[in-house]
Amino acid sequence: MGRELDGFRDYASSRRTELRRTAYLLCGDWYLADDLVQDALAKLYVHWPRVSARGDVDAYVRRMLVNGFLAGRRRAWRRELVTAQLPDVPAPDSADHPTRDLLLRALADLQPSQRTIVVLRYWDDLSVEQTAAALGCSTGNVKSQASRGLAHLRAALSAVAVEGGH
Amino acid sequence: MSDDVEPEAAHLRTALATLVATEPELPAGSADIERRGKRRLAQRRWGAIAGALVVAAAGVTAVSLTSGPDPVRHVAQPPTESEPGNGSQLAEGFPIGSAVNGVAAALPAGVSLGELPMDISWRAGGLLDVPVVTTAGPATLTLRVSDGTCEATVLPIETMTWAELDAIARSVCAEWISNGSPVVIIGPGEENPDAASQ
Repeated sequence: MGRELDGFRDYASSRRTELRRTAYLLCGDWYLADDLVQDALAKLYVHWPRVSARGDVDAYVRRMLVNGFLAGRRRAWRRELVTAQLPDVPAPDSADHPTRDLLLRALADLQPSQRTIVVLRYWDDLSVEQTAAALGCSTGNVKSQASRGLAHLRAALSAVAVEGGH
Repeated sequence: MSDDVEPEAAHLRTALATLVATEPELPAGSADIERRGKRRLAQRRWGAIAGALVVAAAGVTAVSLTSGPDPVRHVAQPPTESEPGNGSQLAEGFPIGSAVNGVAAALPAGVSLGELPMDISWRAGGLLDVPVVTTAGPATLTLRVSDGTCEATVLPIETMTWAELDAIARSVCAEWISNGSPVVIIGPGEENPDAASQ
């Protein structure tokens, strides 16, 4: 690959953090998130010359990430389970802990594809069309699932607000 | 996003940001990814080789199944009077140009002949490699005109269907027959008889 490999390294270094955060919001586990990102970037490595020449690297990696997450959720033998419990225990005196915990649980309650749509739309700020392309579904499906997912999370966040007294 | 959803989405984004605030340290560099990528590449290559072997085995099975009383399927037979008693043979007087013409006449839509190498010639066993350009990229079509049969195979295997290869084999055999389809016996240790590459 030679010079092309430098391009891959630059891309992987610059995008890894963002991809990892997206992956974490999808699966709720930093270690699994690292695995998902590593796998998506490894797939990109294999096809780097073609994908980089086409210029749609972000879309390709995003799709690989989403496919990896959804495939992992579909596998009956999967070793990792999405959980509302953070493996990395936050500081016990953190004021945000109830919010985070509740929000993670609310995210985990969503169907994997619905959760993916919510994360891509409201975290990665993708358009309806980009989200539909990443999941390989219709824009109508994205709109309806995003709306339902948002309503579910709204209810969760409202509960936090009520508990917090604001 | 509609106007009423916009503030809600911003609120959600802020809330999601609190989830990633506890992010542990990121693994340094991309060496781990590259190792994984190289493993994937190796797996793909071995997978392709295994796939080619499976397809080749399936092809041999298909040919043996069709080589009964009516053998003209993937394999076309030359006239019986030209069949030798034994041994492998090439079509003497079957010029490479005619063989290539046979290929060109039967190429499927979207596939064309590639640039023929200057040193193109029959190889031992009656093999001839013909470069072609397919919609998926360059490929190598290998003809085998030997043992009273014409065969066509291609690499990468996914660039042509068996039906297309069958048509090419038939066309090459028709050319061979039109050239008189005489045969020449190759002696032990002989390679690439001049007669076949004239």
